[in-house]
Parts: sequence; structure tokens; C-alpha cells
Amino acid sequence: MNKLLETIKNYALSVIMPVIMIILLLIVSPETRSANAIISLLRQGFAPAVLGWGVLFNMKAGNWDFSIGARFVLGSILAGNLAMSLHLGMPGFIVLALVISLVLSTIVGFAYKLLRIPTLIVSIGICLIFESITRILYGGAGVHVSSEYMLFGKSPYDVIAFAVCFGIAAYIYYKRKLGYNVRAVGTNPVVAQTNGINAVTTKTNALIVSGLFAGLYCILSLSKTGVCAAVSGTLGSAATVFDAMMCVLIGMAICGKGNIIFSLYSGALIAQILKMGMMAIGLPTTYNKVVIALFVILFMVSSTRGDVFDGLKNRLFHKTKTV
Amino acid sequence: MEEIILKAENMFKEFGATKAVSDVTLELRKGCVLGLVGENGSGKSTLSSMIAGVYPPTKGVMTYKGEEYRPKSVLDARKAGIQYLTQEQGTIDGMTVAENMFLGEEDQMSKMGNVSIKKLNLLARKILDENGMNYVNPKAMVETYSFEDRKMIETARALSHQPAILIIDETTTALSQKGRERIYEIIFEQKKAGTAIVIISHDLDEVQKLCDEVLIMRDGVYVDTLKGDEINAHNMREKMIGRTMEGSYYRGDFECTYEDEVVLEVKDLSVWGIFSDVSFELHKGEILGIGGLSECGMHELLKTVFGAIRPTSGSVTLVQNQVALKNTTVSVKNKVAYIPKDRDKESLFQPTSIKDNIVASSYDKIKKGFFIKPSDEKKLADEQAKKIEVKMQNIEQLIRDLSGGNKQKVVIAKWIANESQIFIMDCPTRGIDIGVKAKIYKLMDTLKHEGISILMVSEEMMELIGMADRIITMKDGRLSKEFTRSKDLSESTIISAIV
Repeated sequence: MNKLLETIKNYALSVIMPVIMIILLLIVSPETRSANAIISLLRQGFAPAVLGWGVLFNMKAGNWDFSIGARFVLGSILAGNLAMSLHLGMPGFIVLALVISLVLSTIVGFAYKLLRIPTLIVSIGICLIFESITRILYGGAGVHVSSEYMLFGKSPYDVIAFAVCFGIAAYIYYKRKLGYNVRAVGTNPVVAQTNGINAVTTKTNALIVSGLFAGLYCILSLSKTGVCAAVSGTLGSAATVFDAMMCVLIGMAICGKGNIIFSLYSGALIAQILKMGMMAIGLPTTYNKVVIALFVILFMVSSTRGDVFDGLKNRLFHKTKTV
Repeated sequence: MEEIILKAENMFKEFGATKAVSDVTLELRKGCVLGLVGENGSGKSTLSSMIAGVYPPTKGVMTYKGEEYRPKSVLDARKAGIQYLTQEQGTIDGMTVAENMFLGEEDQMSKMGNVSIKKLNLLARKILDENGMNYVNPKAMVETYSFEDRKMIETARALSHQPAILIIDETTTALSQKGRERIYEIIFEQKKAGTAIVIISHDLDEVQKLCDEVLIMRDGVYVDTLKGDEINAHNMREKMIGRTMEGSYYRGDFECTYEDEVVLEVKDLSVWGIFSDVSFELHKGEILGIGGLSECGMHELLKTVFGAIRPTSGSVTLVQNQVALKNTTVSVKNKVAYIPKDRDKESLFQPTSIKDNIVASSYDKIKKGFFIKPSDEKKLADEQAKKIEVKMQNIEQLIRDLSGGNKQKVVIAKWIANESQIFIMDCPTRGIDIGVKAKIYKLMDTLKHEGISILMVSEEMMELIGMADRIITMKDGRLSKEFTRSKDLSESTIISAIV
């Protein structure tokens, strides 16, 4: 009984927050008041959550990787076009998307390992290169896949694919040595190093693993939309990265002692509902972005500066506050 | 004579131009406790770090259990049976107790690379129980436990490997008396079990109590080895600093010699859940000591006086100009200095130079109009560093490369450069060797005679008795008693007021 209560407590926020957001959406947007609309809403969070898991490994390891968006775009263009031109079908597309994504992330990982400069700089540099390549390949036309390659956009395949991705993420994060090392290095690299964990290798591996999720995101995203356009070469893919980061930050903020992989899906759901809610109330796109940005900052503060909220709580309840 | 388990011969370690250890040889014997003592920067931690696999030696040969020993990492040394406990926190937040206990060793709990959480928790439970820590939940997040419990979790982890050599590097410094006693018990148990133990400590009484042999180092060089009756505080002190220390290094007088003028008034100060209704006055030229158990609220009291913690009620006022110290900016502006207990985390900018740290609070003093001349910065830092005798190559040297004692000198130099009139000092000699300690006491005495007031918290009773004009004790967040400086004041009298 105690264990059950503990589990409920651990997951409470991750479940309650999206539920509250859904209720709010139902209030502001009457057209979403149907079972189908809500199920569709729950599916909206699948793809962003998958990319978010990739970003999670990076953020937890202390990497700031801005190349994951460019890797997704380049991976989608290469895998989609190659699969179609070689008539490889869905299995071939899946293999290509994963292999290309892993190759691209390995390039980022080894560039970091070799250069030993902050991941932020390495990833921005490589992001610009990858983005430029997307403008060169196939005349900058991006990719437009046929319906044959959009299997995972349909029910129940999208749910199955999401469940498989969830399993992979949870398995790597909680069951593999890499997951332990990522958490250790991200929290305290000095202690991790003293315990024989190689911080640089762990950060490199986290970058590579994020490639796996970028590849899975390629598959889910192309299955859903069928299209991926080339990006500008001036950090045009950053929006994808920020969207994923937002899922991670919300996930971390509501996770508590629960499962971060699950919380991150909740985070993705909240982010999607936020966007839909703003559209529903007719907020112009510019303001829409302002609100999203404010939410990112708010969740960033709550996940990295717990003391701000503790201080607020303590002041309200007359406890100590560090200035 | 017990069997030699490890021999480190002619060990050298150089960090660039700095020779941290030069030609030191030591032997560790089964069931024997070896003390490594020396001033800050004498090389004792570097020497033990080489044995523990933290650094590879620049030169020298180590023989362990009769075979050549060259650990590539801490994990390598650990696998060989050498465990290393340090002063710093060795556990990681955001991970469970069990995960922390097997950090870097998950492979042992893995099948085909899959880590078995069940096995991890069970084994952690067993180890914790064996070490009398049945109150610790292996599944709980490690940050839910106190610093002391976390240290004991690390110790349990180290002992679970049944080490052949156990290195305890200033681990007891950050522990309460209860924690220290538990470490002492462990040392005696391990000694009986035949473990060779190395203790690094600045607490010479502790060294005298625990060690069979004491190896003394100075400036990276071997000085002497003391055995049996030779091991006493006087001998160790003399050999550590290389000169005879006459009498005590505290103040020589036993008079309350402060002026009548009150410079700082603390009135009914409370921080909810930490301390309540604290009132006192600090006089010009006074050293006011505050003593108590570590958790009594005295450290937070100092932070609150300085303005780093917002009080729930009460006030801190500079009497002369009636300024309320509401935050740290007001305090620094009004020449109030704060020297925290944890200098590395709370006081120093580690990746920057000695110069940058010294001038950090004095920019208003040296700026001319909108400009700060680099030559003025350099001059101020140079003057202060030399005045306080910081051991350094030059003022551009990075702070992180200094020893603990020299870092503390830089902290003090920073506030002297700022011409501070009130010094708030939290354990000013924590983790500092006796040579620097003596210098800091002398400096405090000099400041006092210049009319500067000092509010000092200390966990060392002798420091309070030796330096303070008045001593206020705290118990459970409240002031419990006040003592005036006297020749007859003893440790037991003060302890009775705080326990």
C-alpha cells in the first residue's frame, strides 16, 4: 500500500499537469471537446517527446547540443530521398534514418572529443555545416516522401512506434551503464571522474545516443507530415532544438522522483497543448512565441534554480531565504 | 615488525614548474596506522593521491603486495584493494544511495550490460546494515541525507571492498564529534582486521591518538618519521614548520581589551527554524567569539548578520551611521567583511588569479572616474598579498593552484584591501595547517589593536578561548551563555554551555 502511495506521489505532477492543461484547452477551445480530439491531442506529444529524450541525454550529461535539429533535417532529407530513389520501402527507410542519424551524431561526438572545446561551440559550428548541406543536397528541395513511407503516422502504428521508443529511452537511461554515467557526470563531473567514470567519453556517448533519437524522430516526423524542408544555414533548425529543450525542461520540472522518460512525454504534451491553446484563443504567432519563450524561461528557472521557488515558499511560510 | 604491504620509493610529482612531491619514500604495513602530516601545500595529499591512483607519479616506483604497482585510475586502485576517502563530498545528487555506492562499478551488477537495480539495492542494503546504517534507505535519493550520513555512506562503500589499504584524507575535518568517533571506531576495527591505514589530518591530537607512525613532510620533501612516544603535538609541530614554536600561538594576554564604543548591534534576530531572538553588541577593537555545536545555528547567524540570509525578524545595525545591514551589498559598502566557512565555494573565484580575487571588493576604492587602471589593480593586489605573505609565484597565479592556507590568506587580504572595519569570520582556520593558523591569529590580534572588530564563529574551543574577548555560546538556536576572557576559562566550562 505504501509503495503504491509512493508511486502515486512520484507521478502525481506528471499526470496532473497535462490533465489540467487539457481541461483548460477544453474550456478555451470548444471544438476539442470530443474523445477523438483528445486522443489526437495525446498523439501530438509522441514525436516531440522522442526528440526530447535525445536532448535529455545531452542535457543530463552537461552537453549543450544545438546540432540535433540540423541532424534531424539532414537525416530526414538523406534517408527519405535515398530510400525513395533506391525503392527500399519502409524497412530500408528506418535503417537509413537510424544509421545516417547515428553517423551524424558520431561526427559531432568525435569533433567534441577531438577538439575538447565546449559542446555549445562544437554543436553550433557543426549545425551550420549540416544546415548548409541541406541547402546543397537535392537542390535544396528537402524531402517529400510518398505515403508508403508514412506508416507510423497512422494508428495504431504510431502508438506502437512510440511505445518502442519509450522502452528504448527508459532502458538506456535507467538500465544501461551509460544512463548511470550520464546522470553522474551531469551532476558532478569531479566526483564521477574520481569514481573512474570518464567524463569526456560519457559526454561523447551521450551525443551519439542522442543521434539514435534524432533518427527515430526523423521516422515519426516524416511519417506524420511527409515533408521536411531544407533549413537556412543560419541556425534555422534552432526552433526544433528549442521545442525539444522545452519538453525536457517541463519534464524535469514536473518529474520529482518519478520516471523522467514519462515526465518528458508529459512535458511534450504540455508544450503541444500550450501551442494549441494559444492558437485556439487566436493569439498571433509572434505573441505565441513570446508566451512559449516565457514558459521556457519559467521552467528553466524552476528546474535549475529550485532555490528561487524554495525561497518564495519559505518567505510565505516564514522560513529562511538566501539572498 | 608487521609485513610491508606497499612501498612507495623515491616518489616525485611535478605539476608544471611546481614540485609537489620530491623524493619521498614510505612504507605501509599490515594493521598499522600511518599519519601523514605537514603544512598546507607540503605534498601529503599529492603523495596519497598517487597511491590512490588519482595522479600518476612523475618518477618513483610503487610495490604493492610484492609486485610493481602502477594504478591508471582511482577505480584501478580500488580494484586492487586501495580505498581513498577525502574531505570533499564523494556522492552525487540526483542518484540513489545504492547507485552512488556502486558508481563506476555498475558492471558488477550487470548481465549483458543491463544493470540490475534489484541486485544493486539488495547489495547496498547488506553493506549499509553491516556498517550499522540500517536507517539509510538504499533506494532513497542521496541528497535526502545529511553531509555526515553521506560521508558515512561513502565510508561504508569503501569498507565493503575489504580494503588492504585505507587512505583517510582529512575526512574528519568536516564531521561532527559523533561522526569523528565513528570514523575512529572504523579505524580501530580495520586495524584489527589487518588493513594498512593512512591518515592525513591537521588535527595533531587526532594523529597522536590514532597513529603508530607519523611521516612528516614540508614543501614536498620528507622530513622525518616519528614512532611511539616521539608522536606528540610539540614534536610534530616543530618538524612541520621547521622551527621551534615557543608557547601558544594564541593571544598572549588574558584581558578584555576592547573599547566602549559599540559598532554593531544585533537585536532580536531570528530566522525561522534556525535561530531565535539573538541579541548582542560588538565593540570597537573586540574579538567576539561564538561557539556551539555545528547545527546550533551559529553559521547561519553570521550569514544573517552579513546580510546573506534574510531574517524573519530582528535587526542588524551599524551603530555609528545607523545603517541596517539588509543585504551583502550594503554590508560591503559599509566596510563589513565576511569570511565564510567554505572558502572554495563561497568566497573565491577559483578559475581567476590572486589579483582578481584580492581586488574584487575594492574596485570603488581604486577607480578614477569611470576607469580602473590595471596598474592600480596590480599595485593593490601586490601590496596586500605581500603584506599577508601569500606563498605564490606572482599575483597572476590562479587561486585554484594555491593550498588551503594560502587561499584563506587571499580571502583575508581581499577584505583588508577593502579597508573593512568589521570582520565576520566563520571558522577562519578550518582545514589550515598550524603555520598559517599562527599567522592568522597574529593578524587577528593586529587588526584588533588597530581598532577593527571581529565577530568569529569557531568549532574549536581552544581557538575561542585563545582569541576572543568575550565568548557567546549557542544551543538549539538560542544564546545560552556569555563568558568573558579569563585565564581560568576552560574547554569543559564552554562545552557544558553548548551541549
